[in-house]
Amino acid sequence: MPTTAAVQPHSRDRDPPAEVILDVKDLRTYLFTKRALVKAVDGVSFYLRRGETLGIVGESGSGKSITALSLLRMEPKPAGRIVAGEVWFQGEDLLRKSPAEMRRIRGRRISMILQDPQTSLNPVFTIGNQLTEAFTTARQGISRARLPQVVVEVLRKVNIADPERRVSTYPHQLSGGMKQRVVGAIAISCSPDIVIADEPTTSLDLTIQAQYLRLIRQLQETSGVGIIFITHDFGIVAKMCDRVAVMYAGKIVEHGPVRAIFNHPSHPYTQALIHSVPKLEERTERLYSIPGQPPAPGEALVGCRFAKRCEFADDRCRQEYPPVFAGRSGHQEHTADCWRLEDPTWRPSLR
Amino acid sequence: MLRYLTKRVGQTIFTLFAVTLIVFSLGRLTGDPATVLMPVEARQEDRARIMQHWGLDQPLHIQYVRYIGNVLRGEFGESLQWPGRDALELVLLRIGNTLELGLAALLFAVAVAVPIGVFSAVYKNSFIDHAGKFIALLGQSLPHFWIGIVFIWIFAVNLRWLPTSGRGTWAHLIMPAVVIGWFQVAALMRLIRSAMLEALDSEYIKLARLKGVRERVVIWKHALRNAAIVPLTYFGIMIAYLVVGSITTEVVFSWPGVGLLVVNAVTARDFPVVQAVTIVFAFVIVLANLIVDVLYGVLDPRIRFE
Repeated sequence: MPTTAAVQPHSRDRDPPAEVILDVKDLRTYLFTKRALVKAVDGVSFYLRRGETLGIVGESGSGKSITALSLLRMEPKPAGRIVAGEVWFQGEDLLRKSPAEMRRIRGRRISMILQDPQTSLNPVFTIGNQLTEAFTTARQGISRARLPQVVVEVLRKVNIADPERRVSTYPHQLSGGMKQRVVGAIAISCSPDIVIADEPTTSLDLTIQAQYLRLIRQLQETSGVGIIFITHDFGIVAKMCDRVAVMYAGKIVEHGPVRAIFNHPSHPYTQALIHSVPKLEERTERLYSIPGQPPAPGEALVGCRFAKRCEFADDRCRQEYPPVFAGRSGHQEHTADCWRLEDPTWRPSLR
Repeated sequence: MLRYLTKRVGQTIFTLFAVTLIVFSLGRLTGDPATVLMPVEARQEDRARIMQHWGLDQPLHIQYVRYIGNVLRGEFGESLQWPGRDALELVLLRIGNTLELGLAALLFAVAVAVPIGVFSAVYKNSFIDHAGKFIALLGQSLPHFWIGIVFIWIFAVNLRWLPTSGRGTWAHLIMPAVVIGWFQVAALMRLIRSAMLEALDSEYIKLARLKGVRERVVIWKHALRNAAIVPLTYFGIMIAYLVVGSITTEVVFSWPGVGLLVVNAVTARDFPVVQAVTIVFAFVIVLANLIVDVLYGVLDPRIRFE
């Protein structure tokens, strides 16, 4: 199987291995704004296995956050609408669920950590109050008397010192890192199957960032939760993820195990992204940046989304979207959407 | 919180002093009080005697210090219109009625503006949003006395549901309270609407929904508790408007309050009463603002724990 997959273009739509807990197929979320139709998520397919971490990497505006929100049917209203696709979770398509059924999945089975801890906790309620609500909303069958104890336990799990005292504090009395821990505590409170982390460390400073990433890893090891890690930072992907999906302008352009992608980036965009991560051992005069701009929202998109900025693009790239090709690593799960991969000897290499 | 409160109380006392200074200066600006007190044909020595008796021959700053002393002791002098009646006593006898009306108007405004404001934000650009805007605009564009008269004509004269004027039962309170309160509905509703829109768009609302919290709880608990802080700022101004609104409305509905009293006092040039009313109104407004500041602390933990 690996040898045939390496030579033949194959589709991500084939049946994934058995332990898959989330299977997203051809998800399309469009933003119907007054000025234009923005295809924010334009036919995205990926899957997540139990206990694994999938990274979704892309620049801001690539559609990675809207993809994440769409999984929970929280696409930005009123402009956003999921127009097509399937999101299979525990044998059911989430896109066919009623709003009430969806509400019971949010927080309990699939939860989410938002980007900015400064704004994601409600300023007028105490930490304890907001955590308690997570438990009572999910109807975990915990008696009222035991709730305070459960809340303290979950705060301890996210390494908050002195949790008994912290429950009665308000968000503004905590530091950014602490707040993000509380958000993390809310996310894991009901032992979900999947946690979606949308750039959870972007607004934290570097040392706190490292601590938080360690915490996520530690929680995953003890609970076996599947994590979808959304980030723009390839460095974090390397540290945190098992597999990675690279998004550009609403499409996943390359997908595969982290090691395969790092060693054999097959899409020119991935190559450029990895290349733009500054390296300690190299002293370069200037940091690399990808020339040009990502397509503006609402811009009519024909052909490969990256063609305009790609030094390998030809006329076909600009007119026709490429099919899915096997990635250069030869790993059976490694795929990329690029016409150049038709030539098995071709390698993207940047000057 | 305690430090915040002591600071606010200090500011309040300062404000009240500023008010007395303005009231005192205005009293002197409108002319020589002796001229007001005495007949036109009064002799010069009588005039001097009166000036000396009332201390009007003293320099202004001495007069002001004495005036402050009197104000602090609650002595505003006798009413000129009703000789023998203490000016402050006349005001205090009626202030309860005015506060009753103002409070009813406030309750009406809040009871109407909060739901409309919330629904306008939740169902933005819907029928309820536009209808709410129209009703509120109507209340703000039409003068109190006109709405009052139209109300009397509809509900008292034609439908005979409510009494035309006076004070007594709950029924007497309805029309004047609605007339004064309606004016406030517009501003309050728009403030709540915009504060709700902002709150509903926030990350913490997104997180509440991600927790699986019911939409009803998201709106009325998570969003409104935050949105309520913004219109609170307007409450201080609103209370001033309620007091001002009471003046014309009390006249239209013959409501026996301070508004009616002050209109009579002004026409009769009853200076002590007008001054007493001004100080009492200022006191009420300043006190209301102080209560608002305390409410801030109650609603917003970021202020409480400063």
